[in-house]
Amino acid sequence: MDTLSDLDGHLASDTVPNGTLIEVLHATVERFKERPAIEGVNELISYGELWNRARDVADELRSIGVGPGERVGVRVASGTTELYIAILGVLMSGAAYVPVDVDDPESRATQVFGEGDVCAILEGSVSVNTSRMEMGLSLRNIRDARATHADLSPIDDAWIIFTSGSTGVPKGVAASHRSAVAFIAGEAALWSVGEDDRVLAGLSVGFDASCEEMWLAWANGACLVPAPRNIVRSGVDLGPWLASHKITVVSTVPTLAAMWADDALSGVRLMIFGGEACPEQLGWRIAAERDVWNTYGPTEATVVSTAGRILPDEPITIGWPLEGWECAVIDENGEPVPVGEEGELVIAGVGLARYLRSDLDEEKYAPLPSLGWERAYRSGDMVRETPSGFAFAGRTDDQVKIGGRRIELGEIEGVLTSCSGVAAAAVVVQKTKGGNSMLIGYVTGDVDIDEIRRDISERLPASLVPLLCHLPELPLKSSGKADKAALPWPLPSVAGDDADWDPIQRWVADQIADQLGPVPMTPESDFFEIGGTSVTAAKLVSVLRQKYPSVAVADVYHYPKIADLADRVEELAGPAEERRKIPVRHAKRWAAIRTFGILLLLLFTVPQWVVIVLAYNEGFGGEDGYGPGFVENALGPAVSGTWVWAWISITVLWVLIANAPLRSMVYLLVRRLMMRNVKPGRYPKHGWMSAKIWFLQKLVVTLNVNQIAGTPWTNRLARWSGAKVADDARLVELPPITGLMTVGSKATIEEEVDTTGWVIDGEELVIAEYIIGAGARVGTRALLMPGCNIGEGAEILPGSVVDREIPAGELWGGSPIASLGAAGETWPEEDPEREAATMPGKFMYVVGLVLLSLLPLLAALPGLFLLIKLNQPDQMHPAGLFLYWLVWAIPISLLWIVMYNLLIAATLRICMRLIKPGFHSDYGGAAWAYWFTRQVMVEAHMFLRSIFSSIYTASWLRLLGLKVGKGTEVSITSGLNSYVSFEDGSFVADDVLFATVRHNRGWMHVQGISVGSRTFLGNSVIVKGGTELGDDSLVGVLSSAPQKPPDGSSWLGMPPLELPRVRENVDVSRTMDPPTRLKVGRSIVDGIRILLPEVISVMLATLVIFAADSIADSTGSTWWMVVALPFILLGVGLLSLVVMVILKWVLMFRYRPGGHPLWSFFCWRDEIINVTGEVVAGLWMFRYALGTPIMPWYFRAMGSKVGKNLWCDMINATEFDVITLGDNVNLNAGSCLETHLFHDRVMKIGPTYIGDGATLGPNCAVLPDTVVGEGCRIGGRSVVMRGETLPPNTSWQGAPVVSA
Amino acid sequence: MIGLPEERTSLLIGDPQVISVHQTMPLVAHDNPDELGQLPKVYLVSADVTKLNSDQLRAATRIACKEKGAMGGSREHQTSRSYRFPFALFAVHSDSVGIDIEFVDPYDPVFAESICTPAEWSKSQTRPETSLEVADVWSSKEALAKALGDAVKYDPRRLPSLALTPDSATGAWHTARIDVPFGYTGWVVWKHENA
Repeated sequence: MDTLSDLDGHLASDTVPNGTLIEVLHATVERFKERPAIEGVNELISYGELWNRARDVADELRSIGVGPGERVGVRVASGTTELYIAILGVLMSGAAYVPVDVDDPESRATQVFGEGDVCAILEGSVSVNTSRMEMGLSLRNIRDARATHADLSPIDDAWIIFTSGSTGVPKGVAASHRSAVAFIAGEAALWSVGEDDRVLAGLSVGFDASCEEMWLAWANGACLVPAPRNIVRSGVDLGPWLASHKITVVSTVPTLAAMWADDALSGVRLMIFGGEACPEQLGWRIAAERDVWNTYGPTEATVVSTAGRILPDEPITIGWPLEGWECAVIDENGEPVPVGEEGELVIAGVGLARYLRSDLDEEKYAPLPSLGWERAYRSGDMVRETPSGFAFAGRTDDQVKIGGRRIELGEIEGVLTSCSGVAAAAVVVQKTKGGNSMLIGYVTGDVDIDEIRRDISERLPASLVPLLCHLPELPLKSSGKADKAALPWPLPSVAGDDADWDPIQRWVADQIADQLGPVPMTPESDFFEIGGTSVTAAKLVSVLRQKYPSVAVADVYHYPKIADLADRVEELAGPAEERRKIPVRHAKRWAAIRTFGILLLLLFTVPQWVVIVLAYNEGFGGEDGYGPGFVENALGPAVSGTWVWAWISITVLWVLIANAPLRSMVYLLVRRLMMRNVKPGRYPKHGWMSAKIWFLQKLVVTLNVNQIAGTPWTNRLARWSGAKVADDARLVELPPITGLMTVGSKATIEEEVDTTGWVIDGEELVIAEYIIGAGARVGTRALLMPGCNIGEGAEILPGSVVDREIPAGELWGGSPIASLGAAGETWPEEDPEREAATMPGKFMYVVGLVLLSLLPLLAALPGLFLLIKLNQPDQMHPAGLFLYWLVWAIPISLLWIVMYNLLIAATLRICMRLIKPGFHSDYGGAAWAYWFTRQVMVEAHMFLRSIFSSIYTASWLRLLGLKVGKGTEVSITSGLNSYVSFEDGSFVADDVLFATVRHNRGWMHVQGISVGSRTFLGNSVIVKGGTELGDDSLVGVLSSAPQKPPDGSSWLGMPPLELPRVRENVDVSRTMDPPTRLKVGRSIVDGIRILLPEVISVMLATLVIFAADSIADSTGSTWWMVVALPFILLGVGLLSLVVMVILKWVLMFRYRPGGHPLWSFFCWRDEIINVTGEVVAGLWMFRYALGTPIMPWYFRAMGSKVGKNLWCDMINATEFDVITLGDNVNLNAGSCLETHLFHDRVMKIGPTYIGDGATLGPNCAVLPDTVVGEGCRIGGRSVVMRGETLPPNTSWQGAPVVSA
Repeated sequence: MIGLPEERTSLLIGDPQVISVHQTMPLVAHDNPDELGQLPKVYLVSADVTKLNSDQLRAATRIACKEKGAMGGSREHQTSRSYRFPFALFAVHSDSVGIDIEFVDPYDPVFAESICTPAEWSKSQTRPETSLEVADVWSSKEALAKALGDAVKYDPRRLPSLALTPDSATGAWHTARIDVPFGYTGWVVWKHENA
C-alpha cells in the first residue's frame, strides 16, 4: 500500500504541489489566472474569478463555523457556474461537499442530506434587481457547524457521494482529498490535458464521474464547458453540441458516444470511456482518430481505479490500475485466481474511500488476508486478467447499469414492496423494440398501479422509477426467487387494463406509446395531457396514415382522447371497408344506348333548324324552293304572296318554336313519360334508370329549360316536374329532374345552386332527395348533396356543400360545411311589402322571355341581310361554293358579334338603372331587371364565350358599364354587372362568380364588389356582395373571397384561410407590363381567337343548312329533311370534334409540364384551343355527348391516356396530354381536371393521374401534379391541392380536401 | 450560451420562484435587412436555470408575454407563444406573428415526408435530411401556421416552409431562425408589407 509520502513525492513533480484539491486548484489559478475556467450556461468566468468567488463562499461558510471535518450540501442547477463555485467554496472552507442533483426529488435530497449529516446547504437562487437577473447562492443552515480541526489536511474528506444501495437506502461514500489528488495525478500520468482544452461537463455532480470532468479541467488550466441537461438527456444531440462548442476532451459512457456522428467528434482529441463495457467496434472506430481510454472504477474506490488505452483492432480491456491503486482477482473464497481465470475484482490502495455507515464499511472494505491487505473493496465485478489488462466479465449481483448509471434492482424492489398493497415485486431491465433499456417493475397484490407510481416517484429519482406492470402472481424459480427470465415481455399492454380496450383503441394506444414512450393510458386519456406535443401529434399521424391514409393532424387536435381518436380513425377507415366492390356490368351496352340517345336529343332541336332552313330557302331557294309552299301550307293563305309576309311568318314561327314556355312544356311532357315514382337510392351506373336520368338532364340543356327559372312560373314548372314547392318559395334554379325536392314556404334558392339531385359514385348512380325548410336560404352556387336537409329558417352561405342535416335557424357555410352562428342576421327583420305577382309584372317576364329568344336573331339580321343581298353564284363547283362561304362567313360572324354586343350592352345599361344598391322586394321592378340582365348575360356567355379572357374583354366590360382598370384580365365569369369594379392589372380566372345580389324571404339585396390592383381571383372563386379586395391579393381555386382582406394577402378555401404565397421569378414584361410588340401580337391572336369559333360555327351551320336544303330539294319533301336532320347534326357535331383535334395538334402539338408567362405565344395558342373547344365542340357536340363513349374517344384523340368505360360529364380539361385516366373513372358534371394554374400570371402545367374506379364529384377541381388513387372519391365542389397524392380507396371532401 | 441578449429582464412570479426572460434575436439571413421593416421582438423564457415545472413555465410565459405585448404601447401589438419545456418563446410584433420552438428529435424519414409539401420533398435542396433540418421545417411551418391564424387548420403537407424559400420570405411573410439553446430550434414568422 502506497504511503502518503510516496504520493506526495510523485505529485510534487509539476502539476500538484501539495496533497489537497485546493492546492491543486491554487496551482492552476496561479498559472492561468486569466484563462477561462468555466463556460456555464449563464456566464463565462476565469480562474481568477472562480478562485475569488469560491473564496467568498468559503469565507461565508467559515463565518458560520464550517471547517475541516464538516459537511455542506450542494444543490444548484446543473450547467451553472454557481454550481461549481459552490463545490469549490465548500472544499476551500475545508468541509466535504455532499451533492444532490436539482432534478432529483425532494425526498432524495432530504434523505441524502440527512444521511450525510450536513450542517448547511448551498442552493441556487436568483436575485432580482432593476435590470439584470443575478444567479446566486443561498446558504441554508441545518444545524450548528462543528469543524474538527483548523487546517485542511489530505486525509480530510473532499466529497461524500451517495450510490444507490440494495438496502433501499442510498449509501454515502466519502473520498478524501488524498484519494482525489491521487486520482488526478494517476490520470495525469496516462494522458495530458492543456490550457487550450475544453472539457465537457455532461454528468450530474451527483455522480463521482463528474469529479473526473471537473478536475481534468481544473488541474490543467482547461475550460470546463457544462452541457445543458436536456441535451445530455437526448444523447444524440450532444454530438453536434460538442462540435459547436469546440469540446476537445470528453469523458462519457460508450452508449452516448455511439449516437454521435464522426464529424461531431472531429474536434475531440481525448475521449475517456467509463461506466459500462465498451463495444469493440465503437471503441476502435472512435480510437482511429484520437486518444481513447477505457476506464473502470466504483465510487467506493474514488472515481477511476483502472484505465486502458483503446487502440484500433486490439482487444478492449479496462486496463491496469492507476498509480497508487492495487487490484487483484479473487475467487469465492478470497483466494487469488490464476492469471487468465475469471474472478471478482478487489481494489486496494490510495483510492479507497469509506462508507459513512461503519457496519457497511466493515463489511465492504474487509481485510483480504490472502493478499495481506488490511482494507480491500470487493467490487462485485467479474474480470479476468489478460496480457493487455483486466477484461470485464459481468456482475456478481443484480446491479445493472442504465445509461451509465449504476442501479441496484434490489433497492427499487425494496421501495416497491414497501408500497401499500404490494405483495411481491420484481424489477428487471428489458430491451424495447427500439433497443432502449428500460426498468420494468412487476408487482403482485391488490394494488392501484397509479397510486404506486405516484408513491415511488416521490421516493426515487426519476431515472429509477420503473414502468409498472401488475401481474396476478410472479413466476418463481425452484429456489423460491422470482424467475426474472419468465416475466412477460413485451408487456401484455402498456395501456393498462385489457378489458377497457377495443382493438382499434389498442392499436392507436400502441402507436401513441411508440411516440410518447410507455406512459400510462386509458381510453379516456387525452393525448396532450399524457405528454403529446404538436410534433408528436404530427409524428403520430404519419404513423397512423400507414394504416389509415386519410388521418389528418387536425384530427388529433379535435379528438385528443384515445377512444375518440380511435373512433375517428375507424370512421375514416369505415367506408373503404364497407364499400362493396361492384362489378362493372353492361357498360358497353348502355354506352351504346346513350350514344343513340344523342340522335333523340338532336331530334328536339330539329324544329328550330327547320325554321332556319326555311328562312334560308325563303331567301335563296327561288322558284325551285319548297320553302314558301311549306310556309303557306303551314300558315294558310293569309300569309301567301310576298316575301315580307314569309319573313314575318318565319319570325313568328321562330318565336313559337323557340320560346321558353313551349320548350319547358316539351320537357315536362318527356319527363312525365320517363320519370315516374323515382325513389331516392342507389342504382346501377349502367342501367335503365341512369340512362333515363342522363337523357333528361341533357334534354334540360338542349331545350334550355333553365331560362324559365326565376320567372313567376318557376314554381309551377317545379311542381309539374314532381317537386313539392310552396307558392311563395323563390326558386332561381329548377328542381332536380327526379322531382325529389321539397321547398317550404318563403324558402329561397339562389342562382347557380346545384340541385342536380343525382351523382355517379363508383359503379352506382345515387339519386338524392332534398328538403329545404320554410324560410331557409340556400346561397348562390351552393351544392346540394345526397342527405341534404335544410331546417326551417336556416341560411346556407354561397358556395357551400350541403351534405347533411342543417338545424333550423342556423347559419352554415364552407366546404366542408360548418356551423357559423345564427341565420338571418344580415337581413331586415320584417317581411318586404309584397304584392303577389301582378299581371303587369308577369307581362314583363313574358316580354323578357320573348326578347331573350329574339336577341340573337336581331343581332343576326344585318348578317342575314348581307347574306340575302349576296348574289350566290349559280353554277359553282361544291368546293368553290365552300370557299365562297368561308370567305363570307368572316364578315358575317364579325357583324353578328358586333351587333350582339351592342344589343347586350344597351339592354344591360338600361336595366341596371332599375337596380340600386340596398334592399329591394323580390317582386318589384328591380327584381325583374336583375332577372333579365342575368338571363341576357347567361345567353351572352353561351354565344360570346370567346370574347372573355381576351385583350378585348376589358373594353367589352366597360361597354357594358363596368369600371375596369388598365391591364385587367377577365376570363369567363358570372354575375358581372355595373356594381363590380376592377382596378388596374387584376386577373379573374375562369368561372368566378360575383354575387352582387342575394335573396332571402322575399328580399333582394344588392351590394357592390371592388377588386384591387394586381389582385388575382382563381378558378370558380365566389366573391360576395360588399367585398373589397385590396391590392396584390390572391384568392385560390374554389375559394370564397374574404370580405375585406388586407393588401398583399393570399387566401384559399371555404371559408378562406390565409396562405403565404411563393412568387415566381418571372419577367414582368411578360406578365404584368408587356411591351407594345407583345400587345399588338396578342391583339391579333385574340382577334383570331374571337372570330375563329364563330367562323367555324357559321360554317358548320351553313353545312347543316346546305345538307338539309339539298335533301329537301332532292326529295322534294320537308319531312325527309326532318328525318335526316338529326343525322346531319350528329355528323356535323362529330366534324366539330375533328376540327378541334386538328386544331390542337397543329397549334400545340403536345402539351408538356412547365411554366409559361401570360404574355407568351404559348398561352395565346392554348387559349385559342380552349375557347374554340368550349364554343364549337361545346355547342355542336358536348351538349349532347357528355356521358357517352364519344367523350373518351375525344380525350384520346386530344392526347390523353384514357382507360375503359370512362363516364365523363364535363369538358373542363385543357392540357389533354398530361391527363391520365384509369378504367371506370367517373368525372361528374362540372368537375375539372385543372392541369394548369395561373397564379401570378404564370401558367404552370402539371400532370394529373386519376386511378381506376375513382370518382370526381360535381364541380370539384383537381389541381396539377396530382395523383388520385384507385377507387378514390372526391366530393362535390372540393379541391385536390397541387401535388397531392390521395391513397387508394379513400374519400375526400372540402376545399382543400380533407378526409371525409 | 444564449447569444446576443439585447436586453435581459426578469420577472417575478410569486416568491421565491423567479423566471428568466431574455430578449433574443431573430437571426435574419437577408441581403438587405432594412427591407424587412421592424423585426418582431422575441423573448426566450427558461425554466432550466430556475426550478419551474411545465405548468408554471406556461403561466409565467403568459404573464410575461402579456406584459411585453402591452409594453409596445399600442393595443395593435400581436403576440405568439410556444412552449417546449424547459423553454418557452414568445414574440411581440406590430402585425401578424407566429413563433415556435421545438426539440430536435432524432431523424425519422416517415415523419419528414409527412410534413413536407410534395414540392419540398421532391427537390434535394429543400428535402430535410437531418434531425435539425426536419425540426427546422416543422418549426418554421408551425410558426407560419400560427402567424396565419389557427395553426390546427393548416396541413403541413400543404403549407410551404418559409425557411426553405429564397430570402426566407414569400410575399409579405418573413421568417427567421431564433437563437435558442442548443438541441432546440426556434422560428419566428412575421408579416411585413414590402413597400
